[in-house]
Amino acid sequence: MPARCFNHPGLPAVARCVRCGKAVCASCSTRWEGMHHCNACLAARRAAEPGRTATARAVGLALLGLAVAGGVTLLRAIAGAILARAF
Amino acid sequence: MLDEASELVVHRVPEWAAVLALSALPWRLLEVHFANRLLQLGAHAPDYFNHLLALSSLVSLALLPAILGRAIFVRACALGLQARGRVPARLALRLPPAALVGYAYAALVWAGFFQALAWTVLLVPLLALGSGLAAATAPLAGEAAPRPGPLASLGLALRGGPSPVVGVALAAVFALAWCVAFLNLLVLFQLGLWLAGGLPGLDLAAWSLALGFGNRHFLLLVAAGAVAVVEPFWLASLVVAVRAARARESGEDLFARFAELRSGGVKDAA
Repeated sequence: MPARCFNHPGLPAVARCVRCGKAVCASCSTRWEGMHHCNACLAARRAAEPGRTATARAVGLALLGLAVAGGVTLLRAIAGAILARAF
Repeated sequence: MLDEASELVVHRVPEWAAVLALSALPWRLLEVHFANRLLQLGAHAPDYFNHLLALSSLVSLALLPAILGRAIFVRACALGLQARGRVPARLALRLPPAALVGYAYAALVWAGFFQALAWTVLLVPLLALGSGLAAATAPLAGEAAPRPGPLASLGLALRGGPSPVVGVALAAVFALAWCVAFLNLLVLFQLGLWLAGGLPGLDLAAWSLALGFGNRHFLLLVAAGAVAVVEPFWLASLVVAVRAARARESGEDLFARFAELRSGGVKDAA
């Protein structure tokens, strides 16, 4: 395996992209299903994925997270009041 | 595993440990204030529910920068393990948005579990383990992120973590480390007080009361300080454990071992 990253010649390569075979450094490499991919091949694979976009899911998850944060806030106040009274 | 984690924190990511401590500082101070207020109110706490809710909202707001600081630190640890050297700021701060959102969601859920179950005291190390694994298993260092989802983010800690025995052993070790850090900090303050006794014009009586074992607020602050001291090593050891578990699963540890033997063989031949 070449010693240097294809995109960043100043950085050491840690793996080869399983699709195009280029040597990639730690920041260029992403593991998908246990295999290293470069950024371009990863983008191509993700573009081929069917269904809702990752961005839409992340936004939904962020909104759910805000609801959870509100629940945690309430739970902290309620649990604190009950425990302070009990102990 | 513990040696690798301390080497990682002390030599490769010390600046990111400082970022972790500073980002969590407002949250820890507000939690201490909230706990102290509860203890002060005692049986009258339910009468001041609105005040407690306002304080709790501030604590939750302060939790968000703490989550971000943890994500940056965990990413820096993972990159430090991969690169085996210092991590440049431009790499450590480039957090993948989807992974960050997934981790933030998991961190909030574990915060909820903590609020509900922390009163049991015995479950605190296991709750800390779950919360730490949520950070260590989050795909913050460029791994392929699973489709974001409520169960996917939480399930990562169960699927991608080390064995339960390793996890529980680490939790026990760091629970002990917290106790040692707590005692050390208490002794440090008493030593400082004793040394300051030689300074003219210092109201030693007032300072002895403020920094004494009878001051509940001081004890809570020292407890929070002990957590801040232990946290970088705790997270780093979980990152090391998770990476080791994944390397065993994928065979990467064998690949690294062969590469090491080959380079050793070339050196010997030379």
